Amino acid sequence: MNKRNVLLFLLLLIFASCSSNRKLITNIRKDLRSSNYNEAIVRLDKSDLATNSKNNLLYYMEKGTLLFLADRYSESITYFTLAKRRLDELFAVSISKQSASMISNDLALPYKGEDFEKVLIHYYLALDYLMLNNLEDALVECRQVNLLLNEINEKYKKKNVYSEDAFVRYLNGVLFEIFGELNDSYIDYYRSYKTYKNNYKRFYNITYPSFLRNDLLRLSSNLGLDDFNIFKEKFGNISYLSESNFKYKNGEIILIFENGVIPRKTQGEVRAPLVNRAFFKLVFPEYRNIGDTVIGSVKLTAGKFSSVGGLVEPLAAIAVQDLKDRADRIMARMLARATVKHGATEVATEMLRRSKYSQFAPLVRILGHFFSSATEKADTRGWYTLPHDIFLVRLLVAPGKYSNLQLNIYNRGDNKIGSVNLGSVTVKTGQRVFKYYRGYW
Amino acid sequence: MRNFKLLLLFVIPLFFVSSCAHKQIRRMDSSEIKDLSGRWNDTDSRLTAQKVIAECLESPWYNRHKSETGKNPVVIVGRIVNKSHEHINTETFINDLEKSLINSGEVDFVANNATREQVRAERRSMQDWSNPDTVKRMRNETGADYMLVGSINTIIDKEGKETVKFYQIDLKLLQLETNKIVWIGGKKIKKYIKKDSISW
Repeated sequence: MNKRNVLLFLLLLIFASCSSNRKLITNIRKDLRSSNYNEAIVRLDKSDLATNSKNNLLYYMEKGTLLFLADRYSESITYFTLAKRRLDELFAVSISKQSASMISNDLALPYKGEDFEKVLIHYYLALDYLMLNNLEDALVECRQVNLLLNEINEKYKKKNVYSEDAFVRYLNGVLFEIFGELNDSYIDYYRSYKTYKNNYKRFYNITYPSFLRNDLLRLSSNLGLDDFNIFKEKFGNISYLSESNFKYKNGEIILIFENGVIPRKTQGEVRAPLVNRAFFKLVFPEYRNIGDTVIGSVKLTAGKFSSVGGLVEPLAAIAVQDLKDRADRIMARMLARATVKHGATEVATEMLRRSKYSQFAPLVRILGHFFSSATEKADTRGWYTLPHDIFLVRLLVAPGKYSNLQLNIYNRGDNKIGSVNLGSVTVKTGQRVFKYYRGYW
Repeated sequence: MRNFKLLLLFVIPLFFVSSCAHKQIRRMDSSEIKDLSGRWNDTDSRLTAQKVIAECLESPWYNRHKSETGKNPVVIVGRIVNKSHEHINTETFINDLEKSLINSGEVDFVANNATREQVRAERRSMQDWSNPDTVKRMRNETGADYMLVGSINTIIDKEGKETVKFYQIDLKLLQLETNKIVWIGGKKIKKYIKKDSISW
């Protein structure tokens, strides 16, 4: 092989591993902030994400979310279902792709999703079914996500911060209760309570939503459990609405309000000089400037009824913590790969030096190290249409029609920073109605 | 340069090989059993329906009804609730149940809610538009004596690449006039699924 071929070959390898979706994601997130969901879908479909099989999962998740936001629920279900199937396939470790990633970078591997992303696929599917008034299938998702959470729990044996999802369990509790599966409902409310009190308090500094107290009292009394007395003592004789009172006299509006856009991973790197201008480079994904939640609380008003809700799922903080958890593992992998690549260059140089082509040795060495560093790229892929945070409000109302459902948003200093009219809603006696809103504050 | 051409000679055929993964299609008999994903499928639905209906018609309520009234019982299939971990199309299962019931010849069978509405609309329009000799009377539907309702439950045990799925299909036959449960039956299906943990 002459010099030209060597160069050509190296360049080819470098470009092959360089395809980046940074710009696409930036544009889609811009569309998102201006609520141009259908434009974002067109953009996504035309991109490389739609065709590259390594990024199938990402494509399905992003498209599912955008379709959901565009109120195209049945189509959204199709894509999230594809995402689930793809995850199932990705369970098998591909030998060929693993080896390819060893000589280039992690972007050569198919995207397998973070644990919290896998959980959220079920959450969005449940919402899709709810919006289509199909509670039975929404509950199938609740059952599946419970299985998945148990699996994650088991896998990490509490080592990981994200081994439970308090909000997803809470929503399961709500849905099971509506369906009349009170045992399942109580179990999920209880798990949610535990997780808020332990993990969420410790790592994200948020505690359980105030409604959870009522839910635990209502359910435990309805089921005739001893826990009722324990909770009553713990929560200090608060008043709560019994299920029979609810069923025959009240209705409820439950609002899920998703705000902002989840932060993106960026590439961090460490360099050490080697020969000439070549250097040893280590790269890793990291989060910078994740931005704090601006919203302190939200208030939902229907006629003369109003209720205050708060942050129930700090997704951005969960994503950051999840990556931190894996930082050691990622670093070890990066180090192993860099060592293999730079080491191989040194071996090749040494072999050349001893052969009759010894005059090429210095060139190969520089090119080799250059190639090794140039191909080092951090895997910064992620599900980037997710919100920054999720808020929840439960509002008890008298049955009837409310023409102006109003959502007011307050910052941490309790100043009103926004107000949204969510349109009209009709609540029947004993009915729990779901509302969803995505905003960008 | 010769080496480079040699390289191309190896690389180019690779593209062809990778792009010609072809599809195979073969018609299957609908009774042939083929499990692909381990999910609830047509075979589960059909076999369950056949088995439970056969069991149902052999139980004592049937003869009691016959001896008391001298007529075939009239049955309707109500709601089958999916309480499982899978998105199961209960409609096809209901169809399978209905088919087994009708084909047994031992019960009279009335159409379910959705179908009934269609037939009623047709009958209403008959009153105005059809030849009087062929018009069917309104308010002459056969009322059902019994209603079949039920649920599909799953229990899943999973460890790494292995999964055991346990389906429990519960069915109840209710006497419409009294709410009495005259028969309870069902079927259990157990499946073992193992996923590959390594692929090429």
